[in-house]
Amino acid sequence: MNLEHLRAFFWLRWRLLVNQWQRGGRVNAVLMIVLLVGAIALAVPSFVLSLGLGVFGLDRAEPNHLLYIWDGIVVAFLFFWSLGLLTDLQRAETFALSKFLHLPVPLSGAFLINYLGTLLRISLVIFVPVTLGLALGLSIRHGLWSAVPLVAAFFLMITALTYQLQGWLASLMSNPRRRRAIVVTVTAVFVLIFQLPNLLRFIRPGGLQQRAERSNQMLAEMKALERQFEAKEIDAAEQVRRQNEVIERYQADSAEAKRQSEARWERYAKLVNVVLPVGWLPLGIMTTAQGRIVPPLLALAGMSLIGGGSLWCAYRTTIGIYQGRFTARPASSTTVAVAAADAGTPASSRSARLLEMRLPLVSEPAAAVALAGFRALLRAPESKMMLLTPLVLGVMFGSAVFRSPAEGPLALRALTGIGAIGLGLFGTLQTMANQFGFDRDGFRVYVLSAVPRRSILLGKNLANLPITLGIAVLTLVIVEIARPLRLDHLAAMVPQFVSMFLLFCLLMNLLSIFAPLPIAAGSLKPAQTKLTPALLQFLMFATLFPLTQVFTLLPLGIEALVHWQGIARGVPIYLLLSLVQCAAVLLAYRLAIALEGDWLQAREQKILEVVTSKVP
Amino acid sequence: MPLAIETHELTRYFNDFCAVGGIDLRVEQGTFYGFLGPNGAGKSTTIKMLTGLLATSGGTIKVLGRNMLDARESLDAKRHMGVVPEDLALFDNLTAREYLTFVGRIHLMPRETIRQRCDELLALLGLEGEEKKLTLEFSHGMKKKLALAAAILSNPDLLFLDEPFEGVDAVTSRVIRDLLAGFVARGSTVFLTSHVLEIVERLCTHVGIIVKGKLVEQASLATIHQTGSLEDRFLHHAGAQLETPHKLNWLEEAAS
Repeated sequence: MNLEHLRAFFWLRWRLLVNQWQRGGRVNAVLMIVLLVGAIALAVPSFVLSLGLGVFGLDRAEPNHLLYIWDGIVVAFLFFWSLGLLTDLQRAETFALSKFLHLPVPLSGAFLINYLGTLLRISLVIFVPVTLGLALGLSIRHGLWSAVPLVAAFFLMITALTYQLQGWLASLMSNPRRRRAIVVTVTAVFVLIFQLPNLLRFIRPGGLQQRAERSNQMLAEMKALERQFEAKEIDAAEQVRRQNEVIERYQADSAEAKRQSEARWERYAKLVNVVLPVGWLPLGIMTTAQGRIVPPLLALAGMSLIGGGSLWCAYRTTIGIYQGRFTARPASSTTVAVAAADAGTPASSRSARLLEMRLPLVSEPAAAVALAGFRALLRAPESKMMLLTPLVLGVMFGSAVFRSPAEGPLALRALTGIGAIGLGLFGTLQTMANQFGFDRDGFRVYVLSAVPRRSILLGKNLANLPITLGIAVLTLVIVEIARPLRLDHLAAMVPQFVSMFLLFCLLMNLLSIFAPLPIAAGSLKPAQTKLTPALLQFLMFATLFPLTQVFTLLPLGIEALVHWQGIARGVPIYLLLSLVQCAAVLLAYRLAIALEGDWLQAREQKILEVVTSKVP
Repeated sequence: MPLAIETHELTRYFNDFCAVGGIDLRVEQGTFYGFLGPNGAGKSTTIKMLTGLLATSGGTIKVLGRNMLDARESLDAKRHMGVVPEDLALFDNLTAREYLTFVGRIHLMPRETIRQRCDELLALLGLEGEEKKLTLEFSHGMKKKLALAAAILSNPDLLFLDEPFEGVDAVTSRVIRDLLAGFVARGSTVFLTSHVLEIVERLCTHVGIIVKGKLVEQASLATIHQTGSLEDRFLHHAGAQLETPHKLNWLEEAAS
């Protein structure tokens, strides 16, 4: 390999990047180029600023403070780095080594090029100058000799580990079905890791709750003193003296709680820094500041070894790819035997039985669209990814419901039930708002078919119903356990759900017709986002979605108002009105979906153009 | 003989580029029509417009006597059509049988008929051993076979096939050829695009040649054969510039 090869491959990487941006439209390309050029242009000033901060700004910083500063930098870097990694993973193919192996480039050269190619990331362009500047500043001013080598070892470790991981995943992903499972798993792990602090805070509020309890206790004591003063049990001077005592005690308790919390967090932080290799950079810098020699040397050696080891393993994987060790194997004899046995089963294969089902009150084509859509949804990795949102929200919602006091107005409890239904709608929002985008090439079947377009829309809506209903029912069960609803309110949840779901469907059909987005297989991320559909989607979510749903709150609102006036107590107004509302919404849905069907037919060629456009 | 496909001044622009420039197709019912043209000539654009996959920029289309530019009539025509589009029309997350069941139901076919035809088609096209695979795991050839099975499942009167033999193995190619020949023999119509002149010459009764968006020839194969071979005719229209062959001197020089 020579310098010309290296330049050629860097140029290739750059062109791939720019072409990918350009597919998202000219505005997107310009924005991304401005961002990259801005990041490169900012590299020099950010290096100088960080250097200045290291030299002049951290004079009074304790070793612990240095640990926290570097922990913050490491966490921020890892967040952006993981985002980039995730995007690469969701793309069909990034920088596949197999594309170079037929070219006159030695294997080691191809490996080096591929590794160096992965370094061209915005997160590195931003973070390397900052960390290097800060480390250099600390070395110059504070004599932290290990800072710069530690930073270098850290980046070597991260980039090498990432490269190894990518290679390993690429070899696993040679099977397209497994590839989707990996993408879903990695995305889920990523989302859950970064949502973990939020979830923990919701499930165990800890410090916040204790602070609130202390504050409530102080207020209660103040009110007690007030009452004693009003009852003339104590005079004004005594009241002031005791109030001061209460305040001082409150402040002392708060200070002690804060000290304990800080000590606890420090213990946790140090433990995490010791256990996780990504924490060895902050730990090494802190221990150097404490004047110790062995810990930073160990951190340096550890990170370098991990980095070097990962590169070595990645190289072995490269050789494996070259030798064809990861190419698809023929099906094993067992698989063939099973397939042969299945082929011998009667005509109605088990897998197709679901698609043969009849749906009551639904036309044949609409039922076919609904069942095929549902089956595809169950298998699609994007729908599994989509379920992460209601899962995270469900945990938050559930913990909030369980934490809140059981007493309270009945209308408020019913509102929690409606919230549970809302969560169900929210769970399918992404697929419902872009129903044809997830069909990709399959959308041609609808365009080519003679099916009335309203049936396609109805089928599409029905395909999402089981998932929406499932999430809503599960959340309602949680609500019912924590804060049982009145029986008539519980019964009213059925028409309430129907009304909310149908209105939601009508709105989502509109979005799918007028603002379709192309989606890469196995991803929820729209590719080539154009300004108009993105704006339309945003407007719908921000305004029309809440507006349509607010309308369904009318029956509950009317009942609360009437009962508040002391009229018709004992009459299940909410249940009766929600039944009437449900009938009205059903009628409106029936009329509107015919109109939406006409719009779909008028726009289907444009939709086809969008959803079948090749995504990077 | 009534016309299965009739276009008048059919035109399609992509921005300023004219992909199809006012072509007048006339395909009689019961014919096997081969639509030929070099790469980028406008074959796929034409077939997309004929099947309703792409909007026209101008002109008229009649398929099986129905106006394809009218929303209601085009739906009516689609009831009697089968299509294998260039980029296929499959759902990644369904198996072959599930997909065929879905298409059958869309065409309002009875369950028993769907099952029976699925069995026959999957066996005929060599897909019966692949029941557990999702279509995303299929090779290109397998996908093509499945798309063809879906197109003929409803027993249509008119078949549109965009490069049906591309990526298909020799055995299946033979099966498809026999199947299509029988289909035409009973009076149905096939409109096929292909790069392989031998296939068109062997199968088709009528031929249309499109070059740079213009229909330069439309005749029965018998008429064409009166003046020479189909290849000569095709090269006359599409490859006239090859009369003075270009040479790459550096390629012809002896290896040093």
